[in-house]
Amino acid sequence: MIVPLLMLAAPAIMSLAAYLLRRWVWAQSLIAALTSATLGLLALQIPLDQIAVFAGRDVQFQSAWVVLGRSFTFAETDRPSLAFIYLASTFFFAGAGAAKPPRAFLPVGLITLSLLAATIFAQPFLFAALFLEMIAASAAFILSDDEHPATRGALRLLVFVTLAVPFILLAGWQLEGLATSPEDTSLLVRATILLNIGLLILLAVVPFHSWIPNVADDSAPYASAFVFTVVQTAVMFFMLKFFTQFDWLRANTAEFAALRLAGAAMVGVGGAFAFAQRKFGRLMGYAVMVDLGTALLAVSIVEADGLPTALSIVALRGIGLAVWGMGLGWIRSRSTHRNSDDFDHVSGLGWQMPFAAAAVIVGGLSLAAIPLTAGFTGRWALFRLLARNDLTLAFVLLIASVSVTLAYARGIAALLRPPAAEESDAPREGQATIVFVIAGIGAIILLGMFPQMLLPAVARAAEAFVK
Amino acid sequence: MGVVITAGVIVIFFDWRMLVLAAGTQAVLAGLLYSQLLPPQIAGVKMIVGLLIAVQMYVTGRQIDTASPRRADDTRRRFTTGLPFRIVVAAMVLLLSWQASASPDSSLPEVSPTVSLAVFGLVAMGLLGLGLTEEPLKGGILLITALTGFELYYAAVEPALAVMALLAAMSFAISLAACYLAVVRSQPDRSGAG
Repeated sequence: MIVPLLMLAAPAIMSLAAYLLRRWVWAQSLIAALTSATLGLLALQIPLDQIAVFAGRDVQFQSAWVVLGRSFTFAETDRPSLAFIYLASTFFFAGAGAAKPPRAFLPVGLITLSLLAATIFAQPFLFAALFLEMIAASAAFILSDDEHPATRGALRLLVFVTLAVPFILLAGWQLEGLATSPEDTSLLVRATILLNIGLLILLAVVPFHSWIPNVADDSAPYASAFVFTVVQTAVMFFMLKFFTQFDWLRANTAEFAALRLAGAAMVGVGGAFAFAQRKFGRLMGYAVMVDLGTALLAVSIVEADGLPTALSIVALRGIGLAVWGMGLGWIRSRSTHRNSDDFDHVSGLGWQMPFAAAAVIVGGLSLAAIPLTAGFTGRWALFRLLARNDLTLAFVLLIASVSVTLAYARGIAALLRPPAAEESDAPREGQATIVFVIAGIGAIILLGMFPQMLLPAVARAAEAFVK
Repeated sequence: MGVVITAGVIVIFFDWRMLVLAAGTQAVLAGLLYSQLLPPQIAGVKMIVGLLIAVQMYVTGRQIDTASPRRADDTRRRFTTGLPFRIVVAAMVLLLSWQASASPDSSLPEVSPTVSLAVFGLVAMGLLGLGLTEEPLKGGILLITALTGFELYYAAVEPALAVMALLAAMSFAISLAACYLAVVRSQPDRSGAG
């Protein structure tokens, strides 16, 4: 059995099943969640290049699949990143039935899983950029639909990722040249420059960030949360793989200085713009920018525990975003201007939809990294690292975090204003939504209070990247 | 030169028929350029992929046209505010591309001057057009234009079959996403968002 083929084909086949069951969102949700959970367990446990007994027969699980002279290879070090992507997706897929996602969310989400696995398996791994491009294209199908007809965010995501791909591929070409002429350092310089430009665009570093607030504003919140969590994490893993595979890149201190500058720019711009927002969607977009920037800052700290900190920021971002997205979908549906999340248009809805409002508040506060929420763990670890390395940056990060929190405070105040006399006839959150919201809020608070539950897994993942 | 002119037409005009016609012509001309760099069978496949994308765009354009016929005032606004500007900048980009491909300092050594002009012209026109539009159908055609320019160069330096197949799949994915976004955008606004 070829393991990469199994992991690429299974979600694609199940997406067809999910599409056929599109009238029954809970059945879709069950299929998608079971598929990704099973693949997550396989990613952690499946023996590679060994013979094992499967269904009463001896089966060899091959780790490589060769196609047209290139290969998809499942390496031991890929296990944590694959498992993270599958398990984060399970979280999103399981809650989809309760979250008012776009109709195509689950089938497209499963296709995205196939493509995400391809980004990890692709060899040479630079070609993963092509699969990231296909992910951006498939994201268009969940970021815009009849209910969310604005296409600006999805189109910008597509444009930016497409523009990044040539730089990554040309960097790969330069590196191939370096293999045949190792004495030619100009190839190395060109490869580094091209790689950096490509990664800057893919990581949505300022000024290539404009798709983030637009997607957050225009698209279904749950779909935006999925893209910000799973897709941007895949991009982060893609970047980390460069540092793992290329010693010359890891040894280049200017590279880490550039990462720090990029992270600081994202934190600074995200924090500055967040404060001025009066819509929950755009505010979430800028809060995500700050969070992406903090992960880059953490990666840039090489001499300490920067990488585990970055991975814990990345891992914990998704929980807050998923809960936030679930709540905001319901809040928008009951807004005075349908599908608007302007603070004035959702005024008083906290009393009409207390569970959805609680999800927006707790999910948002986790994204703003308030103490006792999941998002605080990684942010606090980064503050401690920065306090030793760069106090100015720690101060900038603190101001950005406060800016996001104050903007959320305005939103929370709007949600909790005295309710209007007339109520919308839109349905309130159902019992299933209430169950999922309570579970999500519980997870955010539990991980905020006991982060040590997650830290061993994060440390193992960091070791895989260091290897 | 012809392939760059088709890119210029895509930058200048908004009418979907003109865009699709230019995209189809561009696919044929790019296919001829590919035949200088790749085996004829693969160049033929690239041309067919480009033509299929043009067909996809045509079907989408027709669907949008039927769903929401263009209003006359849209045309007037575009022609009075944007057309002269777009013609001037497209002509400037064409000249710059020609200059870059003719200059020994900036021309691409791996490809002939003709292909070099096409590479510079398509990438520059694609980027220019993307800066001037937020319409998904036109944006998709411009993305594919820029990508075609890159592929013409990349085919010369990395002619691996797997990469060619992946790049073709990528172009299809972009086209499909752009068509979907164009159709969604043309629907009457059901969200009622203020």
